[in-house]
Amino acid sequence: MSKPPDDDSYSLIIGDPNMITNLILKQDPKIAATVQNPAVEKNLVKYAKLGNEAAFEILYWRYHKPIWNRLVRLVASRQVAEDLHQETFIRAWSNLQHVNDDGFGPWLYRISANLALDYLRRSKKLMFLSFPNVEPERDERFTTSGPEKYACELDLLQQELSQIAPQARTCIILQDVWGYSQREIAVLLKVSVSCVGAYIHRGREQLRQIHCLNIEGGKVQ
Amino acid sequence: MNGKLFPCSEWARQLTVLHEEDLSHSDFVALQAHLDSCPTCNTIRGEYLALADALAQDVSYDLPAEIPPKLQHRLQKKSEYMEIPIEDTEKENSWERVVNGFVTSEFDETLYREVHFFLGIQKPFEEDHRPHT
Repeated sequence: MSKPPDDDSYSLIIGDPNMITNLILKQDPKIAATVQNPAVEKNLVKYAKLGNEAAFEILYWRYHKPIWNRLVRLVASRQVAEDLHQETFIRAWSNLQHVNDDGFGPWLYRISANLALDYLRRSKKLMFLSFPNVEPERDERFTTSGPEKYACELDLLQQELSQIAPQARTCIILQDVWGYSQREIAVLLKVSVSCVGAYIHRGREQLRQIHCLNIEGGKVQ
Repeated sequence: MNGKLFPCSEWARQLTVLHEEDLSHSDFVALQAHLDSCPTCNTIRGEYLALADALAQDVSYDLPAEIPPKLQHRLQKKSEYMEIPIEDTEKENSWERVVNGFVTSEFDETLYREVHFFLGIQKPFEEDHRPHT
């Protein structure tokens, strides 16, 4: 069964799934998207696969926020996140015939993760070398001194992430924000599980040390 | 948080694991036993989890408010030649007519119908125009 989006505002509605589906298809998609019922979601996917635009719109509003959160953290750029966010749903709409009716959420996250990782690879932001020959490097996209100053809008934590190696950062974000296990991350990044574990171990300790320094320096209360 | 604390070297890697599936059951049990006996590792584990929680927090304040135009265009394009497969549309409409007179929201409507169904009234919302025999 697909995971519900990670948002508390969804309401669990108990009832006949077919009846609820037919009902919510006539509502404002944004309101309809707040109904949390796996069987209804399965119906919506079924309808969307047959070309029902309203069903897909409900799925869009249901998943757009968790997808956005994940992308923003991973690519650290609003502009890029916006493009990838849109592309995720376009690809989903075009490839709906490939998804299981009850596996829409994880499938969508996978599309999104692959798009983001492709972007990072293309822009040379992410390159996996054999661990541990990787030195931490500063990534200007994550700093407040860049032209977009986007990191400042996000938070200090994003800035702290900029100070650890991009490989470690990617693994940590995929684990903490996207909710993937180390095994799943290894598949996504096409590296070994032990490599992912090593990056996460090193990166997390670095992040903790940087955060501690910021606390001592008064940047964090 | 205390940057001067360091985990026991043999447990350092396991402390960073978030998902139970990344550890075997025996490793997980051993980690729990170590955390119970080592306050330093326990504290550091707590700090890792706190940082992970902070990272996972909502950053959707500048989320796009509408469906992106390119996606909207694709949806409309495909819908032009696809039929909407909603079953029992007439039944649904007749039910709505009756129900709308009594309740205000779609969730109330759902509940209202469910309650009737539960009470054994199979088709409480359909108007029966057949003459009585």
